[in-house]
Amino acid sequence: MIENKTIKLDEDLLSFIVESREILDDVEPHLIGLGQRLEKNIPPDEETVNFIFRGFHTIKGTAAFYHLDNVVSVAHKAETLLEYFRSGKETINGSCTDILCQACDVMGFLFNKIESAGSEMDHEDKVKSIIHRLNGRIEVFKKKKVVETSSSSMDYEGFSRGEDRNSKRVSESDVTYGEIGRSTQLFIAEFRSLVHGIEEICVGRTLTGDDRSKMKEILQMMMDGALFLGFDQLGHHVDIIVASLEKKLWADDQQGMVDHDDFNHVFDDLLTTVNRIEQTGWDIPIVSGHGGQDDDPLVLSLSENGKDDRDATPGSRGSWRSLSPPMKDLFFHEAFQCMEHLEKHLNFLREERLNRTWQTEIKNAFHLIKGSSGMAGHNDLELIAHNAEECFEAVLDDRIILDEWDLKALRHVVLEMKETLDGLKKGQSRILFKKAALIHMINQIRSGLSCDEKEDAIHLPDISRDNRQKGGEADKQDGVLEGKEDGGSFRFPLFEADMHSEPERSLIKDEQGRERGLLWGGERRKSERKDIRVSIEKLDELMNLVGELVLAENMVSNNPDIKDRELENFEKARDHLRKIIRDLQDVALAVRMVPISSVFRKMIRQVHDLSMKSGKRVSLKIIGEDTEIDKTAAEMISDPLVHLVRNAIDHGIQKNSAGDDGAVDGRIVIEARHEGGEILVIVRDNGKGLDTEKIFNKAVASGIVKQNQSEMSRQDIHNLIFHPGFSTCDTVTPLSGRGVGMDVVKQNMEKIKGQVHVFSQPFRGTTFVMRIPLTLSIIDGMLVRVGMASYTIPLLSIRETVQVNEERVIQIMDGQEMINLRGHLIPVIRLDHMYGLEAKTREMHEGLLVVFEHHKEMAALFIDQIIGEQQTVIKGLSGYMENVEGISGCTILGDGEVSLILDVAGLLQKARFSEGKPRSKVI
Amino acid sequence: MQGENDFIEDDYDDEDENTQKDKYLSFFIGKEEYCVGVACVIEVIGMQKITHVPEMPDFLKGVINLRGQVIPVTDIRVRFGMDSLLYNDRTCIIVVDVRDSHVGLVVDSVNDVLDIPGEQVEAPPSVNRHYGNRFITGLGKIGEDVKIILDIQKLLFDDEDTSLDNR
Repeated sequence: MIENKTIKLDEDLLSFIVESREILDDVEPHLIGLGQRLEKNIPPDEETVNFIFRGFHTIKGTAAFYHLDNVVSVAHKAETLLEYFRSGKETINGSCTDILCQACDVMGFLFNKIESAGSEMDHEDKVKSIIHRLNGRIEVFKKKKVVETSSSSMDYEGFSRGEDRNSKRVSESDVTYGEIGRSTQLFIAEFRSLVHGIEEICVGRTLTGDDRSKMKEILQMMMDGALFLGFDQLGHHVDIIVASLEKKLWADDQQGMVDHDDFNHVFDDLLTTVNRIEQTGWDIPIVSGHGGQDDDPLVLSLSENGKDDRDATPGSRGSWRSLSPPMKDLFFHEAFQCMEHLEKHLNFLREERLNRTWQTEIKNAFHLIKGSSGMAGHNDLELIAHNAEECFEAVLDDRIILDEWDLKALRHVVLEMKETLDGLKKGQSRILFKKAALIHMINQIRSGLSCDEKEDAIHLPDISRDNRQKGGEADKQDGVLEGKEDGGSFRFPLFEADMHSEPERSLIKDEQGRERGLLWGGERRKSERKDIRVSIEKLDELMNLVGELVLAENMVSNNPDIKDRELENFEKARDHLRKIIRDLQDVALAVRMVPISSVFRKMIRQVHDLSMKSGKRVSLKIIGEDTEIDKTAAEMISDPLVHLVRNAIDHGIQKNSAGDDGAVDGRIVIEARHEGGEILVIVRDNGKGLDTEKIFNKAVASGIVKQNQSEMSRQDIHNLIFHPGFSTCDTVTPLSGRGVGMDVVKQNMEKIKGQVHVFSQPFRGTTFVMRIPLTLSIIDGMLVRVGMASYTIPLLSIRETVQVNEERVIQIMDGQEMINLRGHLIPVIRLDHMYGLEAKTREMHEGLLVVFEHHKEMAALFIDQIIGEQQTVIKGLSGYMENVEGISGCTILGDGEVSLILDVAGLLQKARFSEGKPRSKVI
Repeated sequence: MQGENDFIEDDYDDEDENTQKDKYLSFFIGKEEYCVGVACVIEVIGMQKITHVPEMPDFLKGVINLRGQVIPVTDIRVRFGMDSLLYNDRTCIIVVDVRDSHVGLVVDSVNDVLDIPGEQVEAPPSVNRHYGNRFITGLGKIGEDVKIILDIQKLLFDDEDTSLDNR
């Protein structure tokens, strides 16, 4: 089935991979959220499961299109597993979410391989092992269900019905697409002969022990074969047959005989499915007729109710099964059009809730769907559409006014309907499991309660009471519903999951900073997204060009030829040009900005995995994930974040023993926010903090410091942890301890001209602050002259410019000058001293002092003259030159001259360093 | 038609490669004539205003703006441990491409592009390890004249004992 082939990497495939990665990134936090809820015994909310399911499904669909068999099979299995949760028959446990996370990993890995090697093959073992694990889970559930099924099927009819039900639930498209392969043909032939074999054994004979074991064997073979080829549907059938045979025929006290009819009854469906596989390569079961197909009492009764309707208009009904393909096409065409209509108008309605036109449109659309699905025999859709239509009738009659909640609910109804249609089109007979809940939701709308009331009403344990509130509007359907509810068999799966857990949801939301609600957010975001993918190279190019443009503008405006001339018109035009360029520059910058959430969200998984591994309970809070940050910077902080989080969990946060009540749960807070021209990314934990003693001793031992401890501030000592290879850990744990992490943090920060600082208090926690400049390429700068050279100082860091006379200057012993500025003593930096240049001005009053600030530390730079202020495109000094302390790069001035850009932080650092021991200049 | 054009194009490229082989740009430092392979030379420009960059070794004079590109400039005289001369209108900057970065070389004057076949190139003298010797790849003979062929890589990146320490 799997042949070794390389995949042609084209644009589409690449964008599919990128998209899939995004989906995986999206899905992962949800999975973990799910796992966390389960730990707290909160039932999983259905929308989240659905969201995850959709994620896998999307990947699977597109991957199949590109024949990425491995990806498809992993996604398929993950989907199958999820299907169990989705149908609400099984509850998820932690190990399941873990396995699903691993499935995500494997898919991510495969995508990487496809990208790098152009093939997803050669990693069969990885794929197999994850599929095996997924299968393991699925098997467990399967077995469970078999037990359930067999216990409920008391007689033969029960058996066949149970089979029917299962066939409906599990149906999903299959791994094998298109025409059937040779292995499938072989399988079909063998399957048929096996069925005959069973027939020979059991029909018309009293079964002996031997016969039974033989039958068991054969059935097992059938099942294995079906599952091996991915015909889950078929496998299920066989599975169920085994179960009920066990119950019926192989019970010790029964010496049953199987007659021909009985046999046909059991195996007919199997053969039908096999025939179907032969024809289409799929094992999607044939949709059987509608009424009574599901033994869920509610759905049954609702269908019966639908039947009542049907009786009222006899003759006009068809059944879905008997519909001819062209008719089906027509139906789908119409239905999807309606759905589109509905979605669009509901969106409109969100903006203008009272707009009659939209309301009428929606009502009409529901009416259309009601009509056509009635014609097509799809009663579930018809029923829902009917309810929705009546609801809008009420809206148009001003009996009720729609509020925000209603619109959300309606959206949800429409989405649900659409999904059902989607499923139907693919040949699945997806039953609207949530039908009851949807109808209830619509009825809630019709009840016309206010928002809060509605949500409260959901909480009322006695649902029938809230039904009564509907008063006179209660119609036939309501009656049926009520009857069922009183019978106690009614459940609102959707709302039970969603509304009950509302407080929990906000709790989790709060904890994880997922401000976007899971319930409606996912879909809405998708529909509003209007973006295109642009390669980063193009963006860089754009940025460069804009930079050049800024330069060129400077060159024109400050052209020596027009200097000292009165050119009124020219100046007007120039100002206009300048404004446009500035706007363009802003746009170009904004284009590169991405929300930091993509980076932060990865941490959710990190924290989850690490806390599992280390056995420490850690919660993660994310603040400000909408903060926008340069794409390059976002990439660069990803690794540091991982290291910081890892360190926090491994070293900072203490293990909390079960008996220790005083122990607090570990908490990690990741925060991003703007401050001045910088973005702060803060990682905070509530662990034990840095051990100053230990760090110092280790630093001395490894020869990094030679001072006494008293000479260093605690802050200085803490900053030692950024030294490459520095680690206080004596043993290297699997998580950390090699002293690489902090070095990576520092290195990456330096690359994006950012800084990292650590603040720590013993037993209170440690805080890492990463400061990243907002943009990497263009700054506002002040151009100053020192001696013969001109330098650019970033405008953002300049506090003020003052001229002082000698009286305000205080000389310290080593020649360091300080000025007294409104009570603050500020050191004076003379570039000429520092760099050994020749300065024109020596006296304080002849020049100016530019006071700049960096991280609350101030210094005054002595300059000769201010030349002007201008947009400065930062260019790196050539890689050929090493980094110069105090200089961050250079820029080209209007006259073509190169000006060096002063790096304020570097200057301060250098000034501090030379304080106390004036260095002899090397040059 | 198309194919023919391609052919010509290819041919031309080959020709180009071939023409660059054995060709050297010669320039004067003092009275000596030095050469660098033409392949690594981007262009020769006149003297420009050099922006001094502090804390750099002496021979690194600073940076210049070459049509929007900022490139560092090395004074070969200083690199060789000779005294720096005042720049005049014959002083040139040879822009070379080394390890994907552009660097300017300040030379007294540029002379000519020379053809020195491989067989005419001799190994550098092993005796008399003059300071500048390690930058030399060979000695090219053209008739009676001897040109000193420089190794740009070593000239710009060899730091094992820099001029600073040796002086």
